[in-house]
Amino acid sequence: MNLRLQRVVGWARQAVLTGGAVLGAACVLMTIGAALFGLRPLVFLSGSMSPTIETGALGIAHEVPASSLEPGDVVSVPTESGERVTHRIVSVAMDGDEAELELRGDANAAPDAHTYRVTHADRVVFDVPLVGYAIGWMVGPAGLFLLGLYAAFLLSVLLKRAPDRAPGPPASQLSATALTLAVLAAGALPVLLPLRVSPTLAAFTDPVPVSGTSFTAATLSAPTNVACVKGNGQRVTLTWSVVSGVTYRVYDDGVPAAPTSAGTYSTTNKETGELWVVATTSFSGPEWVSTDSTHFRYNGKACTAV
Amino acid sequence: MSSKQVRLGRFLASARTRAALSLGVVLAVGSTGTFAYWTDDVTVSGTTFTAGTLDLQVNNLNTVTAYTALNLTTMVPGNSMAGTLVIKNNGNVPLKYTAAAAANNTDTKNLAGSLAARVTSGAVTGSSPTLTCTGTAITGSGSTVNGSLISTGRQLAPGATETICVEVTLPANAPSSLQGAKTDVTFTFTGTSDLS
Repeated sequence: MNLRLQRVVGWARQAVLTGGAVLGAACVLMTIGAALFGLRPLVFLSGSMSPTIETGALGIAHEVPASSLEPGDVVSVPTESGERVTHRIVSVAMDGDEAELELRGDANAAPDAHTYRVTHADRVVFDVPLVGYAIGWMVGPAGLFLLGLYAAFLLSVLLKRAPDRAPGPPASQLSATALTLAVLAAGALPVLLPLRVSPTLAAFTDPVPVSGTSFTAATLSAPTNVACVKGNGQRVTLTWSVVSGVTYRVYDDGVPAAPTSAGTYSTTNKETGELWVVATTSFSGPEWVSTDSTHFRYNGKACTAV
Repeated sequence: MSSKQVRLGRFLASARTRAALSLGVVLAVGSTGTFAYWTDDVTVSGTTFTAGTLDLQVNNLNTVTAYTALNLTTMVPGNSMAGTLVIKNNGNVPLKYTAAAAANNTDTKNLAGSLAARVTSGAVTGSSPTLTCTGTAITGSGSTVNGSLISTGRQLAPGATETICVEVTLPANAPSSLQGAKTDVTFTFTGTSDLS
């Protein structure tokens, strides 16, 4: 029984070591690759890029200058508050080496409320679904606790003397020590370089249009029932219907007369001329004036509509 | 197999070598793991994955097609119309909303250019055609009917509602040339889960 347990523990130890070695080597290679090629891992915290990129995906982004951005690219840019948003480019407006980007999530009906001004942006090259959830769990309290245990186990293996083995050539031990140092150095890369997993929001937007509102400015009606009558001498009299609250102004041969609220105007012995009247109202600002009434021409003998 | 290959195989198979390589996982997660890339004061911030729904509603609708509270067909300088709108976060995540107004002049007189807008958190007071909104203008609210109406995002918790009052005035200095001019206005309220 005890022997079997020992064997199971031994297998588990071998499995953990082998699996860990493969994963660890992959991690180191990826870290070095990311540092060399300027790649940035992104974890998608929300799903406004669905169905292209779902919540919990891990995206790999590559930093490119603003000038190489094109509509249709999926880019990750910092927001004003320093978070990240990853959306698809709707339009790019270049301004020197700065670009003003209008972005829209694939799941959103409307573009983002604000545009983003950037000199460079992280263009998403590809994404792997669900891996972001795993990373999120790993950096949570439970994940970090397990990681600590795992690290302690590895250190115990590394520091333990190997009694079950004939003393190997010193070169082998030296190699293992050198490898440890190399892995440690690779692990330190992300600390030295700005290379970390960044959470990215792919924020949703939801527009609500409110239509049906309409404004029409009032129209001041021109005076109605306008008539012109020849009076004594050369005098003619213009009459029109009065609407309460409206002021009228007669134009006598193009010259405006004083405004009046009455419905009549007489000329002063002029021989010929042209008469018309307009309605005016002043709303404490500029005067609003109606269109002209019918024009009348007078010549001492008669007054007739033009 | 050459002795070199055998030695490499033995080296890779050694528990110590594998442990050394495994350290890569610990270091990769340990050094890249915090999500606090932009805020270094947070050591372990963990992650919050949002699987929520964002749903902004105005007057309990996702599209309001017949908002006529502000309509006025015989507007003269000094007239103002006001109406309220109820903005609601009908989703399950917090949101921020902004609003914009777009005016469509149906003639060349540009009535929209003269109309002045004001947005408050108040209520409608007065009687047509001199209705006004009580209260002071909302922070970041615009003053035209053809541009940004609320540019500073207003946050709403899930389920929360907020009433805003929109007032549109034809100022006293409106010119006579505007007589008979007509403009149609559409307000667009946009909610976003980006709370920045």
